[in-house]
Amino acid sequence: MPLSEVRNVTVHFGGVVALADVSMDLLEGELVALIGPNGAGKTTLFNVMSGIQRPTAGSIMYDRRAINDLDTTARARLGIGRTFQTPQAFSTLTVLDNLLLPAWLPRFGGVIADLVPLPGAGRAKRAARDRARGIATFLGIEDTLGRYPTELSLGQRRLIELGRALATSPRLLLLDEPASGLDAGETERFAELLLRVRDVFRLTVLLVEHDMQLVLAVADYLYVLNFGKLLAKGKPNEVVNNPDVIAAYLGGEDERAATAASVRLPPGVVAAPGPTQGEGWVL
Amino acid sequence: MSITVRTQTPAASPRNSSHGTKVAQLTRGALDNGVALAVLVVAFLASTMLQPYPLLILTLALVYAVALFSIVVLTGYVGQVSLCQASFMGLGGFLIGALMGHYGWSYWVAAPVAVAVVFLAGVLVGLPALRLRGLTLAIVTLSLALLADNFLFANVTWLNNNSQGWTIQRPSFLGISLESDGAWLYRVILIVAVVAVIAVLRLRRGRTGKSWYAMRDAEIAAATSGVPVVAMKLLAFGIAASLAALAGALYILAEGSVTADRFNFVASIQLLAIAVIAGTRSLPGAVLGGIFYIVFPQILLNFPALVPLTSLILGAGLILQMITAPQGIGGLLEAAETRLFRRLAGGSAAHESVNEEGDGHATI
Repeated sequence: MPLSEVRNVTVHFGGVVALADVSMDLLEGELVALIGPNGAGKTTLFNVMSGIQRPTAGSIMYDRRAINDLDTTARARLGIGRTFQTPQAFSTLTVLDNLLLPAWLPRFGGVIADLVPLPGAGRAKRAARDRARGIATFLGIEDTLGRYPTELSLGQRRLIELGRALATSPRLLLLDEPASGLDAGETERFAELLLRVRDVFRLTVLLVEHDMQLVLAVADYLYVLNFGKLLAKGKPNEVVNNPDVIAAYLGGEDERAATAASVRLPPGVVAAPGPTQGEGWVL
Repeated sequence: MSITVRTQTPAASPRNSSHGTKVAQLTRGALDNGVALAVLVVAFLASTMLQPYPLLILTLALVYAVALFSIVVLTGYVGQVSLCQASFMGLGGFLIGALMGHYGWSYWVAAPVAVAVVFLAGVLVGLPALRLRGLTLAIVTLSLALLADNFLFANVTWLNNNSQGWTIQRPSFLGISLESDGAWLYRVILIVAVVAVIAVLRLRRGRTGKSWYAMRDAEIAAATSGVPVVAMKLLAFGIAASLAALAGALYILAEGSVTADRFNFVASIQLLAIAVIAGTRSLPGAVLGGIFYIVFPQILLNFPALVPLTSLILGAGLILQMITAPQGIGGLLEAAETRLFRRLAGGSAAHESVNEEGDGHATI
């Protein structure tokens, strides 16, 4: 029984088809990666899943129910957490507050409780704060708790965003290029961290990532999007050897440069010879 | 899902460890509270020392500080813009006049009712803000201000007392007649303003304020973090409107009367302009702005030649501020306080004493 299903989702932006009849299954506890060239519709699919973008057709199932009509906040509360391609940390809140807020939200009369100190009000905040500190320690950013995100490095801001998503107590975590901008060593450490996060927090993870080294190191299952269409799916090693995928990625002469820049494979998984561009390898 | 993560490192992180020096124990919050207390003491002493007319001027400055604080909440805390705050202020004053004039209500009953009604009006005005932002929202709220000018305050005779406005008998407070005792009038208004400000600052320090900041910084990310963005935005508009209405209630108390011309759309634009010059991000900006709004015209009275140039001077001030002090005069004051704090607490200690739950601004 999948925790979440994408059922025949189509998204049109005017005349442009961003997603065409895309379906995916996310099994409980799986780490699923979604790959594809820039503009393939990966972030659009994330936006549909987290309720930021309405699908033109199709539906999102989560925990055995259709959640199309729920807004972003409601989906977050059901347990769908996400991060963004460009980190969106709350820049005027401290790191601690960034991690505290998702577990200490103004609901059930929280606004009144802010005004009038009720008995037991401190307990909820303390629990949320302990949780925030625990998450920060787990991610190795406990030194940054008193600082503001703007003072920190890109890598730290990505971890803050991951921590904030974890603070929402998600069951499904959507990570949009969490390793972009990280160097090779940071990416390697991030891969290990990601697997530990998945296991410790018992998450189902959907990962959008261009770094194939990271994808192949962590993913249980792979979906490939191209021009809004699902091109292939399967175990990572099957997919990278899939002739359709290879053809799509190689494409015509003109597209080689673009795909070479967007998909990098580590040595050893190269399935077809191709011109190398920069540091990357082409499928 | 219950979380199983436990803190693994020793509790004494560098940030928690005390620095051993006495001065390092001074926190920014304590300094803020000290400054606020000193200002309050001076504000109170003013009521015992000033002559009736200067005291009335100061009373009105206080009233406008509350009105400007409504802009601090909406624009500074939540990042929204409204060009109809003076309309809310007028609506508050006019409702009180109508409730007292038509039904003989006591001021002390009419004022909270008016503030509550305007809260709801503010929530309604917040509805377009769920879809609009920036300039578009400014224009929508400006057109609402024009609607208030040309319909609410101009044609609704129940509200505007057949276009005469309202004159009220000031009530008494704990047996002291505010009609005859200007010092107590000032003190009552000071108390009400301080209570309102403390209430809003409590919200700001709590989950409400953290949610507001989160929405202002990254609205979509706030929603994906579970922040009820719609409710918190409407709440902000409601609170800002009711603060403006409270300023209107204090205005009718201070002046003893209300007329529509004080609350037209020009007044709304002036309020926003002054809030921006004085600093929209914090309370000191609102206080400075209130003083400026009332005292500046008094100064101009002595230089009649300058009166036609009022808008020009205001505009020049706005441009000068945009260039030299984007955070407004309040921002300059905060920076000065930060330097003072660093000096008092010692260079390196200052950084270490930053409260982990600081909120991006001074506490006041």
